[in-house]
Amino acid sequence: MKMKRDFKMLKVEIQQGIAVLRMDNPPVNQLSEHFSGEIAEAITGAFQDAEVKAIVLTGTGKNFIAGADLKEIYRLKEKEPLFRKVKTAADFLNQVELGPKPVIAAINGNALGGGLETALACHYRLASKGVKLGLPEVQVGLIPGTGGTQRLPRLIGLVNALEMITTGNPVTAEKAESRGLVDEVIEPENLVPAAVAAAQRFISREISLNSRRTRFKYNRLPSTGELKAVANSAKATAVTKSKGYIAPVKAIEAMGKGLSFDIEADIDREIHLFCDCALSDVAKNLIGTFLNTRAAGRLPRIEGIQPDKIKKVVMLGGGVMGSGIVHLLLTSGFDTVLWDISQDALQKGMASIRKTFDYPIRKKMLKQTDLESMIEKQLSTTTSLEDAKDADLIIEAVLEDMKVKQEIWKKLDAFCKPETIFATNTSALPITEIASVLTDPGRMIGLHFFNPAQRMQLLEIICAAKTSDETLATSVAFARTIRKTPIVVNDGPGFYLSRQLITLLGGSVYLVADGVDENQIEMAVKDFGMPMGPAELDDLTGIDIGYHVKKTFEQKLGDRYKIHPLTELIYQTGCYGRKTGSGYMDYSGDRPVPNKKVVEVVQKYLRDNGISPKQVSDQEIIDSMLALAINEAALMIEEGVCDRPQDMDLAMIYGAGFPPYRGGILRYADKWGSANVYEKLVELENRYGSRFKPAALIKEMANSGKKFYQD
Amino acid sequence: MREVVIAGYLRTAQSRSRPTDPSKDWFGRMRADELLAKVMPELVKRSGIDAGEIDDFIVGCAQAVGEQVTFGGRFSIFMANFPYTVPAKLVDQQCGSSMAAIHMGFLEIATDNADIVMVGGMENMSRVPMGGATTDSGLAAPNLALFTAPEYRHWEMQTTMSMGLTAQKLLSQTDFTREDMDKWALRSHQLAEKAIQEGFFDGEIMPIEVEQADGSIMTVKRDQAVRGDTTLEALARLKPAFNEGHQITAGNSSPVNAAASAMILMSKEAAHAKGIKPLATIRSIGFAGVNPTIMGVGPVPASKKALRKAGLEVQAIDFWEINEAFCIVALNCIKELGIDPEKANVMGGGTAIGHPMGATGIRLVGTLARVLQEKGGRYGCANACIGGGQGVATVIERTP
Repeated sequence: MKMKRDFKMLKVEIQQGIAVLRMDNPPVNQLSEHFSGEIAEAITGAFQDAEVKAIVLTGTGKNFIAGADLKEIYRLKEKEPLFRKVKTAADFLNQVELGPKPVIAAINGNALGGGLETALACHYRLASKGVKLGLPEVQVGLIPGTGGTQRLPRLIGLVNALEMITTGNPVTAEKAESRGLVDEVIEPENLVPAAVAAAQRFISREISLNSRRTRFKYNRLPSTGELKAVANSAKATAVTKSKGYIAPVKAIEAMGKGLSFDIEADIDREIHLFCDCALSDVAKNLIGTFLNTRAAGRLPRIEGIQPDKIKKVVMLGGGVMGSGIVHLLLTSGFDTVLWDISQDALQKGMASIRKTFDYPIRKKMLKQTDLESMIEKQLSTTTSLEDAKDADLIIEAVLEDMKVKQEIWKKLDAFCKPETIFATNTSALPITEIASVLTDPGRMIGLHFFNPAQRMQLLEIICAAKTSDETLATSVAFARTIRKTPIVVNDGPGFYLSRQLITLLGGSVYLVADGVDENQIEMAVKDFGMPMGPAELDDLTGIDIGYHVKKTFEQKLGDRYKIHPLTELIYQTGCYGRKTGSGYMDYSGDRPVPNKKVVEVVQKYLRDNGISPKQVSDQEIIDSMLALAINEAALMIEEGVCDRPQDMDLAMIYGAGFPPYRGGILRYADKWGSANVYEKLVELENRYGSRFKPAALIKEMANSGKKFYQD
Repeated sequence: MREVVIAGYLRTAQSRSRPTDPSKDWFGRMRADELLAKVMPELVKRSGIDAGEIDDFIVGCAQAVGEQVTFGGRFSIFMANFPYTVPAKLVDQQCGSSMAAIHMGFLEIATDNADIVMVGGMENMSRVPMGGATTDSGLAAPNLALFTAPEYRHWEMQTTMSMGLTAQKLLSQTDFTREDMDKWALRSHQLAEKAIQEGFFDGEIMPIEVEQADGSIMTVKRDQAVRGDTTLEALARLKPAFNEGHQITAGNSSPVNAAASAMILMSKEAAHAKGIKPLATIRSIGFAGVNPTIMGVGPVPASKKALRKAGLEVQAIDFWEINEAFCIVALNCIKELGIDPEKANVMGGGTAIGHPMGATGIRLVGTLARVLQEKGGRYGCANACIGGGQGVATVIERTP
């Protein structure tokens, strides 16, 4: 029977008995249901077509297959249809592996997730130089579901497979070849011819098809003894290292209980474990975060607006933030100018920029000579603002002083070209006020980077009152170019992220003042998944800084934000954290110990107010703090600071280390239920006062049963 | 030279390996080093010594690649949880590996460089590729010049590397027939089955619990390849195992197997001091090189050397253990040395019991020592042919 040749997402070419199937499902050859169906139909057809003796499967563009369609998995809420769907895919790969004709994977681009699993079921694998191969499922709370946990160890050994599967980190084609995952690494232009040559070796029986079926590669299978030992040890590590994430443990279980001689039973078990993961809140949250990250910055407000092309960027200020931002500009290929007030400041700035490259150089991701040539070609320095006159974008990160900033912008406004975008990296000052000195305030926007700018994924983009849509569109495009996740919010004290984070952790003072043990709060918050507890973070960022931000909130946002008397007392100790040698903790010894001064202040406060130590559960602590944070998010939505729950959650995940597997504050709120949140807030308002007064939005949601997310 | 005695011997059963379908191998999910690590401490316990008293541990393995790498023998020490003060080494003399380990231990003790030596042997031929599969998987990479360059042509590497072809070539140089070999194979299975039924091998096999392909736990305590019910007709029906028209079949060759074996050697004085009654005394050892394309003749010159060193004639040997890598090897050895066939492989040979290469040497000497004890003879000789063209032999004397 002749095979079908006209597919929508697949080009078929048959020459000398070899069918070359080129997958073409832009943008990334994602395995949608329809696309998978076409691949299956083509391969099955080729198996039945007497003219075809061998099959070469390859892709077009930068990807071989970049994994499954996560949206489809996200939507499925019941096990039965999910199991059936994954089982169908797994069965098809079993048929490919056991098929009557050799299937050669010519891996032209990244082969990830289901893409690599497809390649694993093929009989020979060639990869283009530099492409990446991996099973990144755990990063979205899943595990491989179509045989990946059973076939990968057969090719590269259990230990290497465990590493790849439990971290989700891909390997390059070169590494894959050294481990036995691919048979040949080829220059991209020679890939398909080399795959055809491999196919001919099968046809001439130089290579035996049976010996190339991955399931029959027994010699790297561990013995039951070592499998048990390795799986137990890996599980113990995963439980400690990936607290809250279930997928690594499930992946280990798939391997630990599998890797027997009955691969199909083992794959069935893998699918069950896959379903356990996929239906969990953790996976839904991680997949949601992944999908929202892709959609971040795609606002209706800027739809259809063509962003301006940015070539030259001037960075004002080479301090900690400035040097991190210059790092990003250089690695993204921009012509960059660093401005500072003096040669001395510039020299310090340059040293600081070089320092940001220490890590990639140490890790051999960049050569020192390449850095120097990048600096030579792309970066110049100046103390003259006039050098910014032909810039496409100016980013300012100078002293956090309204007058200083306004002065600089006024000067630049005088001679810069009219399209230049003026961006400030201020973390606290009202951008609308900064922009008020410009002829066209529509050109000003806030680009709030987080420290270290070259590493943190979040870029908070703040629209001032008059920021134009064009300025916003160009800024969002710029964020994408420098590989940041852009979250767009409106101007207001602390913008979104600082206000949200300070409120989340700020709830702790009410608990401490109520007799709850501070140490328990620290542990509970960390157990919840935050990278640091409130005291630890305050000590790191500076108790005085936090105090001043709270003072600004008090002044600008009203009575609700009145600073807690205990916060005042702690501030008055003069212990501002690590920078002064002590804060909540004393850092003068080998390891931090509670700072006696602060402990005494707290004890005295409790004594003076007749408060005795209070026993509460960790959950009670988290509920109180989260209720306050959710309420603050609602208040910010009401005030118009932000309106997209998915962006707000991404900001907390990427900017504040909120545990990704919990999906974000608003995802957490939806899970908790608005009525429960409201009830908790009422209880806390009665106990602690107006800071906890439920926002009108929360009350309304509690009544209507509405959620922040509509999915 | 000091006298060296065999103070203890223990092995696992020999499972039948199937590299292309390891699910049928009772030890398909167990590594050879794990098997050996079970036998080592058990033998120490049974021998009444302390592991810390062992002066050297020598392990034989023919395919010390992949999961059978030994880290200079140290992995065995670690796996058995022996004290780190016990030194170790690996010996590879292919099918003679663990007999070579006995020889080294013998020499260490005889020359007063050690009092107690443990020797071991291991191989899991389901789990570690052999022959072409070893090179295909990159685990072995013999110099390709040996196969291609004119100056090496006389080694006939295509034949030299294929044991079946060497056996066929040996057969062609004798008067033996396919039927002679099949008859010897039948005898081997029948004697082995009888020995199993009579419980002879229970005295040397340590039962091992191991998970099977279906998830059940099996206590492996008998040699898997023994087929007491086989017939001459069934053997005659088997097709040539290597080339069309050849007479070497799976039936008249040893199967591939997985097993581990261990033995404790001591100076006579040490055994006496510890109150241990040895199984036998090692009287001499022999080793010889032969034409690699007929490696199966190896036992003949090796045994002659050992006998000469022991000052014995062939007729003085009461029992022989001749490794039946192929039946033709045993038949040829019997004929060339003038051995009474009734004295050879009286509990069955490798054709039935199996030939887990690295573990075989100890199995031959150990079984021989036990045969002498059981049947009451005085001298015994164990020998084996070796791929690459060698032979090894050991002459022992029963301890009364």
